Amino acid sequence: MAGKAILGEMVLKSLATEAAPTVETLVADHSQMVFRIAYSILRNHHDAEDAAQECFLRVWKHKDRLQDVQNAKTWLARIAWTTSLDKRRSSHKILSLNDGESGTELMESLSDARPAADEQLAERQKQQLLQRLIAGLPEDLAQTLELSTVQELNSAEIAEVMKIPEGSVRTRLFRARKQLKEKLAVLLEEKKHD
Amino acid sequence: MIDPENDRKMDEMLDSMLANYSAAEPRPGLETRILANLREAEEKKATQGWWNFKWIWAGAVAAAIIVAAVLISGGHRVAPPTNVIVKTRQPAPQPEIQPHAAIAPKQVGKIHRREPSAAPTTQQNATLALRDRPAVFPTPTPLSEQEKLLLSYVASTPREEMIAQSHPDEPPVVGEQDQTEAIPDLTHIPQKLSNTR
Repeated sequence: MAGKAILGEMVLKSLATEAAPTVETLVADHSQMVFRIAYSILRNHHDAEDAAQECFLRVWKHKDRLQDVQNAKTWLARIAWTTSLDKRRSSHKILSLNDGESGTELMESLSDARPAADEQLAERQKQQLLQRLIAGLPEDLAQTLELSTVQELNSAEIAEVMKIPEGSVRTRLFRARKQLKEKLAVLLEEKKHD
Repeated sequence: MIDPENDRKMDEMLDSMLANYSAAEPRPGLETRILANLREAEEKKATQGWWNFKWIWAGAVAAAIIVAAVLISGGHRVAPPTNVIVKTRQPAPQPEIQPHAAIAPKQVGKIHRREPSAAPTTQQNATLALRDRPAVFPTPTPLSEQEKLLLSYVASTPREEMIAQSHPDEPPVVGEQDQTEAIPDLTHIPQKLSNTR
């Protein structure tokens, strides 16, 4: 409560004094988006929050240049994306399909899971399977697909974050989906044969 | 040949999986934690900035002290000896000719005596020599008692008498034997030092 009151006070103060976005207004408006971008890449709540903190620290270090920023949302999204990629590279937590449970085992548990009791577990396993499938994609396709799963970003904004044309984003998303479907089909075929 | 029905099912499955891929919610209070972190960073930076500022001032003050000390010590060392001489050299007062005879030899002795020192440097010697040197050369000294008497005698005695007295008296005529006895051996007579110049 006290934190929200402080935040509101700071936001009102910043709105009263300046028209340009401040760090406080960016935190208030886009912290969820920053967290989701970080989570889509790091797949861990703690790491995602650390990345969000680091992202806003980077913004705060360049707060003098905030007035020059044209699109604060995509600018912030790009900072969040690069910060998260840096964190993932440094932590070496890239998962592969060979780690832990195999894809077939995940597929079996996914189909056998009872919807009422094990819904949460089934969802988690589904996400783990998808995470491993995405990790097996080429890096450019995987990164584009990860950003596309963040609800706050459309393809134009993804293009601005990744500094590529919007058409390239669509092409990458199409190729990424195609490869994922092929992998899923293979897994389903393996399950049928077993 | 790709089965369209199967492809549609795969699409639906993939969409459902991707829909929740990044639908993660942060723990409550994320904004507060981020703002608190930013405030902490700002305070840390402000503190660091103040300390940096303080250290800059301390360094500047230390540098100023060092420069001042160097200048002061260097000024003493580098000062040319001519300046010292000029400073110590004052218009020497004319030594007064005092009528008292007993003081005169003392002053003369003082003037010409070289004062001994433990290890006098060249600069000190030069300074002392300049200080003791009289302004007039040759040094005027007061007249002695005999000189004063002679002057008063010359002043009061007529000139003819002076000329007459300047001729020596003729020796008395005596025999050859008496002559040798009459003339004393001058070699044994102690000669007195004259005070006159």
